[in-house]
Amino acid sequence: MGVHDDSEDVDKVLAGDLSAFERIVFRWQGPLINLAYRFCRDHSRAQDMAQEAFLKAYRGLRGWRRDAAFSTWLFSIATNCYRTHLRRIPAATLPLDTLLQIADGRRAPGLSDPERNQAVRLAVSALPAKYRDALILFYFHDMDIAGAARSLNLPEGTVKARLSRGREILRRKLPQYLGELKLKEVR
Amino acid sequence: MNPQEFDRIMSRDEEIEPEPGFLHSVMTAVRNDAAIPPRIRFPWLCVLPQLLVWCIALAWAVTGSIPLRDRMPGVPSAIGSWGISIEPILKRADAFGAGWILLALASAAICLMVTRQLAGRLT
Repeated sequence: MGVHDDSEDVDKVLAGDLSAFERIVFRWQGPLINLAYRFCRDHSRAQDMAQEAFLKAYRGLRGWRRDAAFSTWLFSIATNCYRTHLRRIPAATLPLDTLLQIADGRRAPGLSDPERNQAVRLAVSALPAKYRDALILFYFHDMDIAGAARSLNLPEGTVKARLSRGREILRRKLPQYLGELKLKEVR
Repeated sequence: MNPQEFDRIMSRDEEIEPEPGFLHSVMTAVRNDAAIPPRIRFPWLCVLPQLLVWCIALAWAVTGSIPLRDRMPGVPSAIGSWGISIEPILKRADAFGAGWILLALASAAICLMVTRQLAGRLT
């Protein structure tokens, strides 16, 4: 998926060619659905959230200033949309303490690795929104703080602080599991 | 759990595929959205002259009352000055048919509010 493809297709959409937007959706549907899934942990809801994000992107297409990549703008729109969506209807999740107990293999020894991994991800989803958002976007962007900051429209320093604080909450809640987890100043 | 393990778990999240009808569903929503006529903008150009007339009328009424008030010294309290300042305003207002002007402005304002509400419902 090239930068020029997006730019050309945006021009065509703005000129009234809706089939160009279809190509944009085709290119970006995977990333947007997966980002939505990381927020809500629900397959069906992730599709709905991604559809809403595409619709918002279509409505706001004229607002894309070409100084940033189209993907940066699209992820920023989607992130904003997903956060609003979750504020309206919170993701169905267990309380953080319960999830961390499940994630603790010593308290639930029968749990397989995938189940435990899922519990850890759910525990991140159950964090307060600002820490949850920072952690989700940091890992979604392959541990790139700058990418997460752009999607959240926040300074990198704020994102670093929120990552640190989010991990701190997880570490405090489950010391035997996350005791060694410290803020890693990645890249 | 060490930081590397936490990173690994969070980085290798489950990848989900779009449902077969996703693209079609999005494009249907987009086409429906595109078919909606553009939102009717609030007619500020019509409202602003009326607001201006309002302001001028109000300013004229207030400033017109000052000389009369100045001719009546010895009014001690704010309440007293209010009572005295309102009387000439009403006299002047009556002289140039302010009641009718106010009625016309109020009805215009009501019409605009109703129109705006209706336009908001339609778009």
